[in-house]
Amino acid sequence: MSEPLLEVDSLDAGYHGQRVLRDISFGVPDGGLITIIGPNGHGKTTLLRAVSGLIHPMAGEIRFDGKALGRARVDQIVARGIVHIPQGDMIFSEMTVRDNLLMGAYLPVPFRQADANLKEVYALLPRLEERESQVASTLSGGERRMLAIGRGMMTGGRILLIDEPSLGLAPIAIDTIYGLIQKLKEAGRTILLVEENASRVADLADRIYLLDHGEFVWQGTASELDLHEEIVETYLGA
Amino acid sequence: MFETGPNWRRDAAFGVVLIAVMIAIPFLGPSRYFIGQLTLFFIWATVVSQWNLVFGVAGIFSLAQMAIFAFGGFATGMMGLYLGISLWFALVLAGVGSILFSIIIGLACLRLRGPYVALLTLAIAQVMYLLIITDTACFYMEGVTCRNFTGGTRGLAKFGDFGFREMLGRREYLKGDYYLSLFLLVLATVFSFAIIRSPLGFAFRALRDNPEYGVSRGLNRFKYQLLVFAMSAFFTGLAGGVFAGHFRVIGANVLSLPLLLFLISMMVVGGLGRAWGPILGAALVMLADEGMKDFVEIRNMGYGALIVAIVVLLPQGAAGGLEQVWEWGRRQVLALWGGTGRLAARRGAAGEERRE
Amino acid sequence: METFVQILVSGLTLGAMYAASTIGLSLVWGAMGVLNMAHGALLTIGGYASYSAVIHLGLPWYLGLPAAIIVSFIVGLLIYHIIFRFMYRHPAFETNVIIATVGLAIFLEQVTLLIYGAYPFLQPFSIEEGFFVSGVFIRFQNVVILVLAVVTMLLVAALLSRTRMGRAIRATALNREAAQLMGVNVGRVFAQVMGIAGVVAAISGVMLSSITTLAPTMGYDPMLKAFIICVIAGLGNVPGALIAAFVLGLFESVVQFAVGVRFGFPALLLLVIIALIWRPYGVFGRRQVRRV
Repeated sequence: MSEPLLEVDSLDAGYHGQRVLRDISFGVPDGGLITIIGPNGHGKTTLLRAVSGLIHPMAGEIRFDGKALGRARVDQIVARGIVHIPQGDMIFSEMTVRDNLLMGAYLPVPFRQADANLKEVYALLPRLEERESQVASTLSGGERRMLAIGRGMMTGGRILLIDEPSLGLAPIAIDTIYGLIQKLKEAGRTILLVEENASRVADLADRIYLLDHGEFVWQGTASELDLHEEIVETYLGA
Repeated sequence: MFETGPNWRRDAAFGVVLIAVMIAIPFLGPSRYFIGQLTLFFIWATVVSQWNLVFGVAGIFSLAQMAIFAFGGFATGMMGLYLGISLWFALVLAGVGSILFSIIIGLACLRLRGPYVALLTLAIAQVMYLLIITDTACFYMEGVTCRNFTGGTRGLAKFGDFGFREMLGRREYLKGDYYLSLFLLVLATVFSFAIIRSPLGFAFRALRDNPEYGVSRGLNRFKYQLLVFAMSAFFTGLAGGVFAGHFRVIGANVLSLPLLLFLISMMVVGGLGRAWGPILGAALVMLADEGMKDFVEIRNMGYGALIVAIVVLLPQGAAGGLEQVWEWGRRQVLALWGGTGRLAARRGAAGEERRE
Repeated sequence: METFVQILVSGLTLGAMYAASTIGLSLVWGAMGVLNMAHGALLTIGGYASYSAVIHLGLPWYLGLPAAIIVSFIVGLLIYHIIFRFMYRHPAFETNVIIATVGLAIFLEQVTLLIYGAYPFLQPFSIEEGFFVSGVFIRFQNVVILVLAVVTMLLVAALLSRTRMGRAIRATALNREAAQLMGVNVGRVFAQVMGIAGVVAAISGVMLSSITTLAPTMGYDPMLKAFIICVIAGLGNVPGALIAAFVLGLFESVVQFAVGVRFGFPALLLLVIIALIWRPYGVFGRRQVRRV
């Protein structure tokens, strides 16, 4: 793990000239699971948007597999293997479950392996296979989130950026989603996970970063997090 | 991005100078052609100033502006011709009628989302056009000639004028129309400034930039839009009536697409939603039109290309461009004075970022 | 019976042409949020391209249609690459593009006028022969129009639902950002949509001019009717637009026979206004049917 797969170096980013993120640096090693936690509205989603190219950095650099992303277009970044699974229901609501998944395999390389990937996704998420020909807007909240993750898996990317997978879900659905993330980790996928709350992710994460007001205020492993009760109380209110 | 409060002195001073110059021009012995073109400029600038309120400020994608203009013109002419009343009286009635006409259109259109409004209003104008040019039924006989109710393809004529010929004589009568349309433009412009700079203008900007905000503040978009649509229709209808009285004829050609484009280009060149935009845009486009007079075949082609180029290259319009130059110039001057210059430069920079 | 057959034939022909004019418009709106006021000009260009291919290049008449398709396809792509490409990231895109395409419409109309003049040429892609049904003469051309329109619609529907490109177009229409995150190059999708719109417009332009005549402004009227159909169906709703096109085509021909030709369009408009006061988002339209 000498050279991280994804490396963010002194990143500043934001919208309309307003900086949301300041001097953010971290790395995601190949096969690792890194988690960023912190209160809402403090830049977690902005960070993922900067990595996937939806916004361009104001300063600093993002490197993937040793090469800088620069000002590449979103689709070019996806083609290099960075898959952003956005927050909430960003599925294609008027398309069928199958078409949604096939959209994940839009790019030429995954498109050739679409059938195999589809089998893999259905094996992990049998619920999606049951609802294959249903229009996505008829799914439940938990199923939509599964669909969004399944669609991300279809891209065959090298790193998954997952934005608040538990947001707005019932506890049972959250269990399912985290079961899925656990399996992905065990299968060797590289994952950058963003959550508001540390309680779910602590056991999974190789390393945890705490983002507050656009800056990292703490970092460490899950066991170290337990030792810093004041952090848990101040930032996570738990 | 928008000029606000503190600039009203600049605007007022500029306006007074402009009006004084326009009042003085006929005394400098210009040609009849020049007076005629300026009269037309006042009329078009009036129409565009009202359209700008509707389209650029209130955010209604209405293409019915010329339909309302035509309504005002035809109503004035028809009342003059069929009821035999004074054209002045007919003009005022037509202005009020235009308000009612626009309210009907507004009730049908304004609850729709933006582009639907464009579709429907354009269709309304086209239906008016078709109904007029296919009107062949005899409404009354003039000797052995059959006359249509709307004037048909020949246009409606013989309804008289505003009486300046009798009053001022054959040589001077154009000046009567000149001052009448100037007066109309001043009224319409004062009205449009009042709207743009009023709380209502701010409310519209808030609604456009952030619809959720508007809803959360309890702003009733439909009510305010209908209000602006109806008020602007009053001046637009008056402009149509003045147009009819000035030319002593009104026809379906005021509903043609090239004329619509001509006026849109004024609005776009001036800059959508900008207070001075309509006057600046109308002046620039009419000047360009003079320049292209010798190239009739490619003139409309020129407008088409011009509009596309402006929208693509200069989405803020000429007024927006001038505003930027003005701000830049002020920053340069202020920068020479040291400390205050830095503050102004920062304000300017913030303004630029918002423009993006 | 004769009147009935006449109304039916003319209504179906009108409906088929309206449907073909509408698909392109609806698709462009649905995928890009562009209200393309230059759509009528694409129709016109298609009609004249077929004329030029046959009269000026001396191709056989039936090659007029493919020639029209190629030319309008290229013009559609050019519109994207010269105009839309530079605009679609701007926040006021939806407003600005309406104005830009009005300008473009006039520009293209004037270019056509400059090249061909205002003389009403006859469309060579046309069959004069016909047959009788209950004493009414029906040109084969009307049958060709109906078949061509239906085939075009089926092809577009299949393209949208079955192919990788079609899926990307639908995904972009539903959620542009999410589509980008799947690796879709939104610019390329927009170019494809404009190309398809050009092809479909060419077909309806050739059909339209084959039962009237060629004129530089010939696309304007069907475009307005296509607008009305879009308004009824909800912009971006292709199946709804097809039903509306045939219903309105039949309605218009009934009015034309019963009241008079000049009241066809006004009656249509009146119907639409009433429908809109009743259902402000279109008769079949759902609230989210816009560019979601």
